[in-house]
Amino acid sequence: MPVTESSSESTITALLSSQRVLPVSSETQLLANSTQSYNIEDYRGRLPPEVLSNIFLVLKQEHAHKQLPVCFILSHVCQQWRAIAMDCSSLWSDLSDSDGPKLSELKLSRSRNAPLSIQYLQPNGENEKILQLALSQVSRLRDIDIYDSCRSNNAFDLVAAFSGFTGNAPLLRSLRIERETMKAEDQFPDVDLKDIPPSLQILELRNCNIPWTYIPISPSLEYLQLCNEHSNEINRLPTQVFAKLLKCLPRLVSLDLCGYLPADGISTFAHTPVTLPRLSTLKLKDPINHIRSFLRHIQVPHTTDVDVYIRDEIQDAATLNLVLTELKGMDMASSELPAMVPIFKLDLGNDDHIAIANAKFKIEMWFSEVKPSSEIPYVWALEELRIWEYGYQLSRSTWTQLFGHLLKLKTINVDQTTDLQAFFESLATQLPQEAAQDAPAIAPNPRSRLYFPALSAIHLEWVDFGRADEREADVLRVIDTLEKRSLHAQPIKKLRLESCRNFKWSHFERLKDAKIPGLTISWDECEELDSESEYEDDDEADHY
Amino acid sequence: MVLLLTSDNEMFSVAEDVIKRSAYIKNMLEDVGESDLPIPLPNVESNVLVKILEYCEHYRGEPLPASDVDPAEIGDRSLDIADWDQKYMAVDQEMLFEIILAANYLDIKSLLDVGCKTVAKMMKGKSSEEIRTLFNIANDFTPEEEAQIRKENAWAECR
Repeated sequence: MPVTESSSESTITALLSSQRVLPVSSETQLLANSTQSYNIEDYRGRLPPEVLSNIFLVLKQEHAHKQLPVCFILSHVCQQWRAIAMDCSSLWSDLSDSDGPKLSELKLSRSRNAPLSIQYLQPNGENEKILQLALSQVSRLRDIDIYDSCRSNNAFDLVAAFSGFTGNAPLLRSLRIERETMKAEDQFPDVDLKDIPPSLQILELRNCNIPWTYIPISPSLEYLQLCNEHSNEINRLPTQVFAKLLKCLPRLVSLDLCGYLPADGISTFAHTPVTLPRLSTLKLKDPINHIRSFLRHIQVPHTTDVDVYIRDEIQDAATLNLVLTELKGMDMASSELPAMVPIFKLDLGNDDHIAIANAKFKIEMWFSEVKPSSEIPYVWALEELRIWEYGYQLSRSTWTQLFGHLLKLKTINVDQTTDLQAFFESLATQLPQEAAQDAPAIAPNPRSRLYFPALSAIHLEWVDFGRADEREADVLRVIDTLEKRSLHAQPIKKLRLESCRNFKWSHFERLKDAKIPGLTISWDECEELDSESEYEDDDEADHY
Repeated sequence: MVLLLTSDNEMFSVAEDVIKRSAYIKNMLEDVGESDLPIPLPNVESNVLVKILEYCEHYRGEPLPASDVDPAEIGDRSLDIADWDQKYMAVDQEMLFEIILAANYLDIKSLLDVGCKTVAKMMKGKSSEEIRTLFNIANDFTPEEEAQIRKENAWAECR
């Protein structure tokens, strides 16, 4: 029911009489005692308290002021606003470690019975008491978000802070607890979370080592993250039990599991996959067999982002091939998809670390003792290749053999582990005669006569151009390659240099002066030069 | 058509589906039934009603928002305001507050919401002193209250 005060004279009466919902606290009596009413004589003062409260609550969400939390700022404006702020218990109900213990204490008392949101991302010993007090008010806990970093000098005891917490929190909407890996072996919190009523929508427990039997499984759960860096077999259910459990979570939007997938490997029993129709994010981190088994038991929408991190080494590319097939099978629209799942992006990193991605999924894994670049299936659709601290030096022929024929490869990123000479020479290498005759079939441009038919962008990051004579040769080679590709109607349109070593302003000028048609060069102007005498070049060396 | 009589005695004839965005008028029409008598709006001046009707006309035909939202539950709302609403709210401060008052009186929840967001946006990132300046509010605290505020500020500095 709207407030119907008709004149400014009646505003104070309306203001006081309209405090209907909550009792007027002693602090709000200050308003009644006030003899100064010039604040409420004009249109600003006529805003009813509930409207001002509404404005305060909207502001609470986004106000960021380095000096004070918004509830204090608003209560420091004038008597009227202070009275309204004091009466608006929800304004004070967000507790955070950034408030400090004294202000938190005030907020806790002024929030009276309003549902509490608690966010302590760097708690220290000083916060322990107030956090314990807040967490013991179980009946009004709404959101809990605590990250126990263990890094604070002033020791914080998470167990003590949670000593008054029981799972029986009727309003609890989200519970997020993250502990450092070193604590991941004890179960925390040591209460049966199953007592949490079905209001819970978000449950994210990192390194809390809570077994499934303690987890509240309710149809209202939308975000579920259970991650334990230390794998614990007691957290793994048999596949069939796990599948049943997933059936009870039809509203899941995000599922992130690490160390919680079933342990009985790739089961062969007949089953109907569990459908998670609302899932938009799926993150899995576990050994490959656990992941493969899981992928066989669920179906997710085509739009779901899938991020798979395989913890053990993959022995051969055929296994990866199976994972890709299972990823496709998990898609609810799999029958409409092409037989193969093309990979758009490939990262080759150190220690044989590989990340592959397409529009839908990303997989990170390690290969053991295979040349992954030659083994990975479905790279025919590769659009972006990144080589980062890669253990193998690719020769010119390896470059052309592995990637030179890819019709969609548009971008290549390389770092200092790449042999620049081999790379640029491969880009300027002509296709063999017979392949060139078939050029229209293998390249988008019928005039293509060089490998890497679709390549249009090169990103050099941390590349070392070496000592003076080498860098001259490297820069000339780059120019030569770019000119050659331009002549063959396969131009590079973007060349980006970032944090490159021993690359100088004069080299950048030289590249620009080459005036290669359609080429855009960007350089971060980082002129890092080696200081050793043999790397120091004199000015003459840079004159062409 | 519905007849509305403003506080400055101007009569407006408005299509029923336009003004029904006001829950106050909607309930009144349902309670009273059809009538040739104008509905008096003693808290709304004609220039403000023109603005209110512009809003109702723009959202004519759009579904009405749920009426059972608890104001304390607005926690997840952001300060995002639709483009048209932003332009609509680009008025002087007095008119902005009059729109909010009228939206509150007429019980037009979506308009009240936009008005509150607009005012909240104006205050975003400002200190108490800056808010006082923005709205020309006098500091009327008693010495005791000033002392308490100083204490709170000091605690904030110790964080």
